[in-house]
Amino acid sequence: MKNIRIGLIGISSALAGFVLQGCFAQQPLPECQVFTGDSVAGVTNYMALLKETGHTGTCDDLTHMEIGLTRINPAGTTDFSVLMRAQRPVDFVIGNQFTASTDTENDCTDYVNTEDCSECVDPIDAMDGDNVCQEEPDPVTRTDPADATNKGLTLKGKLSQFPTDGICSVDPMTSTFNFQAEDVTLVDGGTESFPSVAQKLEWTNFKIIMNAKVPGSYFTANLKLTEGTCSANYDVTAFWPIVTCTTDDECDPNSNLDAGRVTGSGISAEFKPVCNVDIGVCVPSVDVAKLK
Amino acid sequence: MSRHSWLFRVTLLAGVTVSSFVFAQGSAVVTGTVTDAATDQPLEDVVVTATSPALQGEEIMVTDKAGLYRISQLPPGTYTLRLEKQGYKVFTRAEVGVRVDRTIRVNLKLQPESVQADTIVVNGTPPTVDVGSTTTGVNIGKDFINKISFIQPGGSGVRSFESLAAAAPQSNGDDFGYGFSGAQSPENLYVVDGMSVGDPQYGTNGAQFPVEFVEEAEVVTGGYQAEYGRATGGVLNVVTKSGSNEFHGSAWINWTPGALSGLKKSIKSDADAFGTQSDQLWNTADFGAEVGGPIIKDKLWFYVGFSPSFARTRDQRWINQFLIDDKGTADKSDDQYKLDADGFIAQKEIDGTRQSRFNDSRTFSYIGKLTYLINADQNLSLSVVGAPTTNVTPFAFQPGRVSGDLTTNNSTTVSMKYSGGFLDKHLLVDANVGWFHLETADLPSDGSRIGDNFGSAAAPAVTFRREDEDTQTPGHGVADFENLTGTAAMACDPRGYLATTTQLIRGANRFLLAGIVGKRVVTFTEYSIGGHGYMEEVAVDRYQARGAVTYIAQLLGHHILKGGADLEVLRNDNKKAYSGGNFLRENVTGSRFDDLRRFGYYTGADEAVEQKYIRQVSSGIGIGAYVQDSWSIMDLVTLNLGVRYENQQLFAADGTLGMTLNNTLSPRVGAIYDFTQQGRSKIFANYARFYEAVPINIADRALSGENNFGYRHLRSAGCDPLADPGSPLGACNGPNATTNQNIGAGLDSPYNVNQYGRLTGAGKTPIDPNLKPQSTDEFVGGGEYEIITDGRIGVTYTKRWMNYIIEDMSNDEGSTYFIGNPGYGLASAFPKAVRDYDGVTVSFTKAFSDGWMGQASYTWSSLRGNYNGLFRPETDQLNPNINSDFDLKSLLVNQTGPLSADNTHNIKVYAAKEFKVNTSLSFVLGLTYTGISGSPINYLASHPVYGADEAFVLPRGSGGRLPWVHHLNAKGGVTYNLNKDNAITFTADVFNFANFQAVTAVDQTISTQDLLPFVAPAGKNPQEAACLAGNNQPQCAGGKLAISKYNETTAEVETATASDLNPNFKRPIAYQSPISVRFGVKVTF
Repeated sequence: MKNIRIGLIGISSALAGFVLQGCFAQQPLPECQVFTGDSVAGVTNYMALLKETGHTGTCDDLTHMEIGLTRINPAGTTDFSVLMRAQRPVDFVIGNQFTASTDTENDCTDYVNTEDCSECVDPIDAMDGDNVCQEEPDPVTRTDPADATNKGLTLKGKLSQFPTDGICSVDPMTSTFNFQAEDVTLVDGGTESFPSVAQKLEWTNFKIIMNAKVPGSYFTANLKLTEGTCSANYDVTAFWPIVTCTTDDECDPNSNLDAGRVTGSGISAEFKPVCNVDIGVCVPSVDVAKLK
Repeated sequence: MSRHSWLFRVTLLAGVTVSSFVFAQGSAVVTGTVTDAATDQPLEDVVVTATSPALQGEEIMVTDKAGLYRISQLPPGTYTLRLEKQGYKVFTRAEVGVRVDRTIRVNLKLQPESVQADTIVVNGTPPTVDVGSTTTGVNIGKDFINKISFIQPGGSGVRSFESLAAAAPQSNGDDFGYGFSGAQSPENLYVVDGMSVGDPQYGTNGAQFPVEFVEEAEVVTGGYQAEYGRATGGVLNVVTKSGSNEFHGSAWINWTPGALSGLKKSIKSDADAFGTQSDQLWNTADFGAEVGGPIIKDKLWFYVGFSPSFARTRDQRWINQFLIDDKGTADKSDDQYKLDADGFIAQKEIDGTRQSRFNDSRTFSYIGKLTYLINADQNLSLSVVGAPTTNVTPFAFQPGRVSGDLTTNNSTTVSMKYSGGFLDKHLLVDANVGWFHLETADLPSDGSRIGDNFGSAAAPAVTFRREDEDTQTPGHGVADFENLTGTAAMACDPRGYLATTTQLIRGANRFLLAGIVGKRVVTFTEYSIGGHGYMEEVAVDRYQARGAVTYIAQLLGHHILKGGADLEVLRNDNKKAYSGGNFLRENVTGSRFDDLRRFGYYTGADEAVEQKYIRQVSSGIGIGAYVQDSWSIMDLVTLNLGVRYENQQLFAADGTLGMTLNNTLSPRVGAIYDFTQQGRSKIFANYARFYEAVPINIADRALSGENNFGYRHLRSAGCDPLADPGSPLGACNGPNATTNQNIGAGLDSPYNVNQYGRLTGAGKTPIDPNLKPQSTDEFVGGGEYEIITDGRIGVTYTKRWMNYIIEDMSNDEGSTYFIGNPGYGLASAFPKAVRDYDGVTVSFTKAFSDGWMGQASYTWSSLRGNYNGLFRPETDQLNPNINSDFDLKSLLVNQTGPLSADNTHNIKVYAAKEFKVNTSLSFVLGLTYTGISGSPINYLASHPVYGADEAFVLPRGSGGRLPWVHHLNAKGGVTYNLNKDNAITFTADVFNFANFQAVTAVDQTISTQDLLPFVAPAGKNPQEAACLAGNNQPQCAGGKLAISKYNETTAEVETATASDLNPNFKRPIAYQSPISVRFGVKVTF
């Protein structure tokens, strides 16, 4: 009986659909989506470019931010949401923002293949001309006592199922963290004191471009970031995937066998990408929001 | 017949044409003019009566003022025409062969009663040239089926009708059936009793039943009219047998003993020490019976048939030792492989490792048909035909596999057909409704099913791929998986390498040649253990209704005006799973196991909901309509003009519209010139456009999306499926903060939403809003001339080319996809799809008469381009319209060249001769020769994004060609007629009696590495320029190659070396089937 019912669903869908669509139906709107998958560049996240539109207080100079996005859609439902994990609050929590003082002991494993220290030598054994690595600060892990499991790092926003005029909207999302003042024990001994910080990110006007040319790989949003006494507003444009670069050639979306590139860069040809050497990432050179 | 009676008939049926007693179903036409033998003037009011065992009652027409008669809607068969007119001698013309969908012209002369006999030669033999249409191809009737050795034993054991397609001159076998004129088999229209029986999911033929059920098959390779649509290839149109006014039937048994079959040639490989001999014919048999007759004479007929068939094949598998050229060096540093006479690494079977198994296939074919005469002008038929098939591989050779395989295929076709004639048969109505249902499954053989918690369905499959490159974790050894003990184990280490190497893992499992590190005495590339892996249960349906109205009229000649409409609703119920809910695949360095095939979805960060299986029901609908006119002018020229309209929509599993292909118009324009005006010749030309009906697979795969997620498990963190092969998951499960490696360039990026895994499935694929339907254009032209009784010669030229095609593509190297038309619209940056076919066929066809029949053809053809069709032959990927061909621009380098089906020369000769000893005893001898020149060979390598065999290193076809494949079959038969209606026939078919063992496929993988496509300087031979002219060894000075490879580990491009090449490149991987003999006994009554 269940099989018959499922069978009838298929048939009735087709008949009813055809009756509704008629002989002059338009191609269906694409479903709203965002990307988490592998690309040839191998990166899963979006790169958001931040353009400050005003601030109060003393704020960090933020120009870009990595953002992880995933669409969730429980099977059999039209309930679409996005999960978002933005770099700024993550950096605060896992310590890329707050760091303790410099080690004196060189730990080469952290430095291999870095641009300035491709060959690491223990300072004690160093001879003249050796490249002596400078230890980076130890990362410090801090937590919001009210969010001990860091669940707040991932935001969830309602996503429209289909685009309207090529735009999928995401409901506003807000994250708040309150880091207490604390003394942190350092890896190499000793402690360091960190101040309390209240951080709030408010994402509004979140619009994902959704069409066959730009299938969810670009979005715009407004971000209000409040950290302590600083409050700054940003216009956000973000794209996927992140392709690191030093030259425009590395952003070429097409393969170039003469140049020894067997594949394109992985960023859409529609973006006509160029290298933004300041952040070392391929960025669109066209107004992606206007691509249809 | 008395003069009074025929006058009564003419009076009763006054008019140009008149109704007959019975109006039977069918699609063939007999037409012609009747003239006075003395004056050559047309004769009006001649009563033409057609009778045949295939016809309920008889068909009667009366000639018009021009002396023309036309009898339509005839079922195929052998007819007798009887002509009567006052003042003329009655004339009877027997043995008029009428084939399905064909129009033959039989011009006849009546001798006035006043004229002495013998003074006028009245009539010759009836012609066989189809003067009504421009279709190319062949009609195959019972004579061909019974007298020609044709359908080779194999497969499921059913001598099924689709094999008849091979007889068409322009047909070419491919991996899924027979393609015509450069198109592939999934592009054909398959019709049984008016019902389309193509697999809605893939477009391939979905039905099977034995040829004993077939009355006639029409193989149309091109030039067809507007009534045929939804195909860009050809048409295989089959009419099953019907009952008649007399009881007739047959019973048969056929047996192909394995003992008389040649041994299949073993496949040698320089890359794999597992020797195999697969599908060795062991025993194949089929038997059955069919009977038809009247339930009520001239009112209700029946026809039933049943035929079980069984096929058993044997697989063997053993382990070979690669022999070593022992130089006697104490430290073994000079050891190398020993080569055999063919240049392969010499191999020797290790005693005690050979395993055998039997694969069994069973099919129970059935048919039932009722033909009912509603009244004198209308009838109705109902037929049911099906064939449930089961194939079982009882166990896997690998000790670690839980079970063997079970595949099933169960097709059912139900068709109801109505035929009626109105307005004194000026108006003919045909209508069909039908249901085609196909269930297929790919499951374990141990009885466990999708969703079960036991057996193979509940066990994850694990594929091991670790290679030798990483010396820290050396490649797997055979003893990792195989139960080798005693002398068998010692044979793996003949020179005592075990004592000299320290690169051992898991005990005595790995035996490296010291002199050539990285080579093993026993080697292989991949090895799988565990459960069944991917499982699938699919049910597809096609509900179809079609109607046609034919109107026969006169206006500046004779017109057959036909209009029709059809509707089909498709449904694809697809249930799929991975055994155990996941599938582990080791990477080649052995550092991790990818577990990326889980079905399920996320509800929050790292909060996955697993689904044991997913079930998606997608659907589609297509409507079509056409009008066509076959306009016969002066019996000299026939113009066929038509246009076909189609509209198709596909719906995703959630019921929403997935794709729409709106309002296509296909013109069909043809002309036939019969310069003999006697139906004995034709010169013809036809232009047609054919639109593809997109198979519904795309609705399931691309338009509905698939929810997958997965993990990567690190070996270094404890994921080791071999630690407990019976329970391989162990630490390879997720999410697990210790063993999971997050996915992406940063691998452990703290900004990923899911820190331990990720979504791997894709959502619905967007579509170019201006998507154009896929179509091909065709021009055919040629001529036929009847040179002897029932024999004609012909020449045909066919040209086909693609217009728009539909494929999925990516603008960002596989990050995102869209569906569009390559070269147009959103995909204008992609190259246009090209498939250009040119073919010339010369043929001779002789229908069975005077004790012999024959069909011979030679086709020269050229097929060039960058698009093969709905499947990708290089990898056998069958995902129509979403194959990988155009996915990435970087895949398209070197794609243009001779396509897979470019077999330049194609020769087919079928002949049969009957020797009658006396009225009771006759012999028949049938001979078949087919010869086809070889397909192009490619240089394929891995692509960094798409993997194995997806990249063309050198331009398509640079590797030369496979050799010719010749085939000789013979048939001998003895028929003893017990009386007029009863006979017994003994037959013996010898297939490939010369036991040719030509290579039919070679390994086209030049490298499993990511080699960059090589573009040779202008005017240079690509093979020589790339230093690959010697197949698999560098030919340039210093053993160097001119091609580069992408090193995945370093992400650098570097010069490829000899070790990157596949030692098995261009080695045979398939041979033609050896000799086999089938014995048959058939009793007809």
